[in-house]
Amino acid sequence: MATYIDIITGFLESGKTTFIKELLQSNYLEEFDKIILVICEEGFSDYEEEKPGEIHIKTLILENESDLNDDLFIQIAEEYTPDLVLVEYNGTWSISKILGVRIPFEYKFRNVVFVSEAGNFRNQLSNMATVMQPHILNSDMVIFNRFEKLHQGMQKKLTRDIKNINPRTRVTFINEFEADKILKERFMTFNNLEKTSMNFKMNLKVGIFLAFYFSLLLICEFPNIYNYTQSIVTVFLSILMQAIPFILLGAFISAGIQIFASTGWIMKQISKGSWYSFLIASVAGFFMPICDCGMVPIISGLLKKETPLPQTITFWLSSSAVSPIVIISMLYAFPEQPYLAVVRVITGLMIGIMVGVILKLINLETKDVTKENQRVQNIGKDVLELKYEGVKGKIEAVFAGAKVEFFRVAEYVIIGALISAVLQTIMPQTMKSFIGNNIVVQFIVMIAAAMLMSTCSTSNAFIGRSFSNNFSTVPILAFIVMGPMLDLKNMVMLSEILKKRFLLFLATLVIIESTIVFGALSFFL
Amino acid sequence: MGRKKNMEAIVQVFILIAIVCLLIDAMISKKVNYYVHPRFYVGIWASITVLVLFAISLISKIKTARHNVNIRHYVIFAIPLVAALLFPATGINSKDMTIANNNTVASNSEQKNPNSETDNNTIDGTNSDSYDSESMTNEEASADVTDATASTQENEQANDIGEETVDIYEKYAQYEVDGIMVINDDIFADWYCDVYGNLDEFVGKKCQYLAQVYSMEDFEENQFLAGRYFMVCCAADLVGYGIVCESDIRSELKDEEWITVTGTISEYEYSGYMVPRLTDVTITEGEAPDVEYIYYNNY
Repeated sequence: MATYIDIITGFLESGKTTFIKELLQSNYLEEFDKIILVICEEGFSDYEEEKPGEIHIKTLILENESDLNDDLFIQIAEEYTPDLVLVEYNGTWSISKILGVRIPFEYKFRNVVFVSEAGNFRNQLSNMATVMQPHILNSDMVIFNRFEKLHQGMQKKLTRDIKNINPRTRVTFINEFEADKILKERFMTFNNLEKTSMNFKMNLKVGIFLAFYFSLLLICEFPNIYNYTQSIVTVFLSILMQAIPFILLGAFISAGIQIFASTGWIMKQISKGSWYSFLIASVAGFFMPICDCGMVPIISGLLKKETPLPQTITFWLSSSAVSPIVIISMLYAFPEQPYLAVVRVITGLMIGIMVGVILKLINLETKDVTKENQRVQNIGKDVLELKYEGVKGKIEAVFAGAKVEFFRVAEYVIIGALISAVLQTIMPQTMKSFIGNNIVVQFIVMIAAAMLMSTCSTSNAFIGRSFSNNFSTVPILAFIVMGPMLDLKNMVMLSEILKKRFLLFLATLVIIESTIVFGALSFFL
Repeated sequence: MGRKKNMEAIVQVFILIAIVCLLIDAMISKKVNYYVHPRFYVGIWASITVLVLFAISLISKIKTARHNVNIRHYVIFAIPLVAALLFPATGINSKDMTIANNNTVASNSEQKNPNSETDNNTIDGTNSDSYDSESMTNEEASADVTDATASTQENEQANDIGEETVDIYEKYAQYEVDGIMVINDDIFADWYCDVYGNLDEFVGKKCQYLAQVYSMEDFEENQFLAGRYFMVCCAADLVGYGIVCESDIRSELKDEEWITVTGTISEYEYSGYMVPRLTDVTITEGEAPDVEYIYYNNY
């Protein structure tokens, strides 16, 4: 039978020891006979005589980080043959240290639990982010205690803080120890086992179904299916291939800006709130050549600092049109019509400024539309483990950041490319001519695609380009320009700070204006 | 004895290496030509370098053990990798051409307007170099919608042509061998557009180029289309274009066969448009080129 290792981590006085005591007294550990407690610091309570009766508990104390070595678990296994190892881990030690030590084959890390005092959490997070984040990042669950004094809504905020760092971890505020659902799930072995085997079965079923489906298609459906698939694949890969250099370029610039450039000047300009500031806001994006998903955190940050809403929205909407990478990608995607790059910039600016001016005219202010008590954290990217300091460190950070960015953005590009490849290859001919006949229908289809396809502003020129066999230029331009503005994924990200009702209003406004702009444009192009 | 590793880093390294291998393979075997325009070469080599560096920098991270990592969302990267392995871009074989057909020639004929191919070419000709017309092509019947578009462009084009008229044919004089314009792949796109745009000047000239044979539904017994696939940017915008040829040995030609066609340009009315046609055609067996497609070179 496997021996589990549960790691309970957190800072001094965070309540780890109390948690472990409660755990030992609860019925969660009933099925274990021999438990080893490894304590990596001296807590304020000790475990003497905690658990009477049949369960054997042996306590080991590690005083130095160097005691935590490859022999530790092997010795434990040889000397005590436990069926559960509970580690009270020192929150200032690197978590990967214990996760990386050698363990016997039948041993398995089951739970990493991060324990924190609710009242101190935010303070600690801002002061010791680099120490704390890896612990949260590797945790299965985060437990808050001493939260009774917190005012309403604070619990939700703490939960969000945690989810920002690690969306997979579970957060719990323990009221009744033995009734806590999440604890039960994580600590009752039987539940655990059942769950994994169920998952495996599910995966197997899905796999069999897919295999069956494809073989069916291959064998009897169309004799042509291979050719069809191959043509989809060719288009799909070709879109990806031309997008890769641009994704990488965008990733590096985005990471570089986040690490080197300060946004101070731009922010000051935007905050002025004069009419002139609309112009600055609209072109400011040129100096922040980040893809739109990278812009969202900046926008949230600006709104948090209570910059005037109209200018900030103008900045947001235009940023993806004036970005130098976007312009280059337009030139590459439409080499025979370089003027389209200019058209994109102009339409993007127009829509951005118009929306901003309308917001100003109807007197909407930032505090009317933002959710209350938002604390925006953009720390996800700081979790880069860096070796060097100074300039070298900064370069390393840019490189590491670009890597994170690449994997994040590539996902969306793959999905976008796949959808557009499938659409343009198998879209029925009748449908094609139906759409082809009516520019209004094309326009509507492209707006829907802009919302749903979640393409990145730096590469959506290529995806738009790939529609050019089925759609005419103006609807494709609409798709490219509006993609970042209406993208559902961005909306979801923005809904963290902005009220949903406002986002809906904004989307409607953008659609109406773009209809006017592109309607006018279709007379010229 | 085991040791926990950073699964995420392992998966990322694997993905990076797989992407790099596929890209290098595509570049070395020249398969990349089936996907993208040669102007992307530099970008792809640069990407390969960066991705290799990413992978190297990740290797040291593998040792940093991680717990509860989410690697499921990396499944999405399997889609392009598996797709590239299962459906490699094949060289010149019938399958590949069928696909191309699906996209262009065949699809046009399915639209119950088999003329479209040549239709489009006509439009294409009048706006030499303009991709816009290509996008119109497959949405033929958009006359009412694109009227404004087309006419604007025609006007622009007319101006352009007015200036160029003098030497439009002279451009190709240097390629003349024994009174025959020998049109190689690198100038084919320009030449093709010029011929459509300035048909008058080319009538009566002899020309020679490498092409594939395509059948069109409404062609006469002795007619076929000698054409090539054109790429502007990537495989997604591949479109087939060609010139109508008349030949007595039409029946001996197979579809998609590579030929070198030599003939005299004449005018021909095809569904209301004047298009070029090759008469007095001599056909010799052609060899499939390394790079099958014609690439527009705009810059």
